[in-house]
Amino acid sequence: MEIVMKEAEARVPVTIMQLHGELDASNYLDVIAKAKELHAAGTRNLVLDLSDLSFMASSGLVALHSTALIMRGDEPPDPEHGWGAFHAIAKERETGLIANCKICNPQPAVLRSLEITGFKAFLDVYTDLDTALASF
Amino acid sequence: MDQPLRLRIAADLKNLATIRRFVESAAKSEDGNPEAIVDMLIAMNEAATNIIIHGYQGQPGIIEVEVAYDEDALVVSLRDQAPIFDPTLVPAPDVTLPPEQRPFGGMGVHMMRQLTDELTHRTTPDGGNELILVKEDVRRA
Repeated sequence: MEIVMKEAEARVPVTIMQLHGELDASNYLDVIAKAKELHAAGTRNLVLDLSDLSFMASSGLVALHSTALIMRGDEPPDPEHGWGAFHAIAKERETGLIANCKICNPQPAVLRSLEITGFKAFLDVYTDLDTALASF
Repeated sequence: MDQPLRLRIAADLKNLATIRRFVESAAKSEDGNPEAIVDMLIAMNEAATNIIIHGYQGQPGIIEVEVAYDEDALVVSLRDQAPIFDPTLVPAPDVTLPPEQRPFGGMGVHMMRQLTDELTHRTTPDGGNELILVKEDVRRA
């Protein structure tokens, strides 16, 4: 998997993290590490562009969830927290606390993983980049 | 059951993509339904990941992958020599429990169950594990 970064100007500065390839247990920590690096460098608004991501395992869901929390300034959850961590982000969505991380254009296989775990409802998922940027 | 295609590969997370390519290629060679094949790839990937992480726990090992069609059903078997573990016995997420009390390990098994029609485990004669995943109605007429 390759991670490509871009910058965009919406109502606020937004960083776009493009994931190219396949996201599984062999590389999901790379996404979390990049999110930490971005946050340390001042990034607060992020779009995860999944246009060119052809596969995502459950470990990828952990990466997405962790990235959302990192962008908010939180420590990513210990995986042992499990479903509770996912539930937490769902509750946070209701109160608008994860408004700084958006998911953009998941492809069918990735969308399947998001849907089968109920994760699609946990994050703001957009079908195209422009709409995702306009949501900030 | 058709003649199965076999792959024998080191149990390494870096080999997950190779295992997926093997299963995908074998399934598509019979003009399988792409959406059903994706379901099998996701489920099989969770099973293989569990073998590598929880079965072998970082120790060297081998995963044997077998792919075949049984009439219209796609059948993927994963064999390993890790300590005996039957993922089909992992309880389904209990929706009556507060989510924070649900174990993380259940998510991969949840995905396997949701995306396949049959999930069975057996202990092989040489003392290893065999997990068989079946997805019905994959091969198109």
